[in-house]
Amino acid sequence: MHSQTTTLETEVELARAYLDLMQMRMPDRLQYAIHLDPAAARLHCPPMTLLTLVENAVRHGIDPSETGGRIDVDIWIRDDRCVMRVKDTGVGLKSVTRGLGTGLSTLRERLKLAFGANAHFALTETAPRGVCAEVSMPRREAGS
Amino acid sequence: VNVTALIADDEPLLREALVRMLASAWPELEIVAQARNGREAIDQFETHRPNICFLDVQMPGRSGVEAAQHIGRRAHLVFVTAYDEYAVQAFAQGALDYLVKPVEPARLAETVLRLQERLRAAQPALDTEVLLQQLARVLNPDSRRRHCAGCVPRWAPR
Repeated sequence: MHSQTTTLETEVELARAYLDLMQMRMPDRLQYAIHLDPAAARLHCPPMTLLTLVENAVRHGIDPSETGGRIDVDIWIRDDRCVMRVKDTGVGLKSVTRGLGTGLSTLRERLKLAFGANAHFALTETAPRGVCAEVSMPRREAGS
Repeated sequence: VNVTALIADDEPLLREALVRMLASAWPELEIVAQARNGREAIDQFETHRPNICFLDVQMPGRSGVEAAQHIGRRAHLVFVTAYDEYAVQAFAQGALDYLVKPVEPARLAETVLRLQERLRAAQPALDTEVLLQQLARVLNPDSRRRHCAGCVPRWAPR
């Protein structure tokens, strides 16, 4: 986690471990699925990118919701870019609690450090409820 | 007379752990209801009218504090929380005690003793105002300043 770069494969492992743990905490309130395009597995990614998005979805989307929800993680390649999307069906952006912001602004900084202006991050509300976080970054092989 | 209790926690593993620990610390206590959030705790309280409520502070939807406000002095309240700064609020709601997660068996045994004493003495649930005054004295022995929520030491009432 202290290294400058990691692969998407490692990021997914980390996110899966975290989500497994969260599912132990709230087995009746959290479902999740992760889909990683095998072609993207070895691509470069700033450390903690996916974990930050997933943790955000749990803490601010699922955790405050009585009924919980699901989290869908998709990572794929689109042209010369890699897209990472974390969608949740939690309470949405309205009920933002204190603390939101630090994780995501740090994420923005890490993306900027790694890719300059060439990485994008967007957070949108989805219908009927929930949030979709999407990161798009240049396709870069790990180590290059 | 059977003593009854309700346990409210959004994490099933922690509910089960508390049930297990209570079964060993207080075998006669009957857990009549379990709730996953504040709303369920209120519903279950009205249905079962337990003598004691163990309330997790942070739960989705309505919190343990909101449930406590609803229950008021109709039951002995014990807050269970991962954050001890909630202590002030807990006592403001008239809680008999609060437990910090992870709950230690020895600490739970103290809580059980305290509850048994109160039940034996047929004392009603604690009064809010007196507790707040006690708490203020502990926090600020030299002044009459009101407490602040962020500066509460880990402390349990005697």
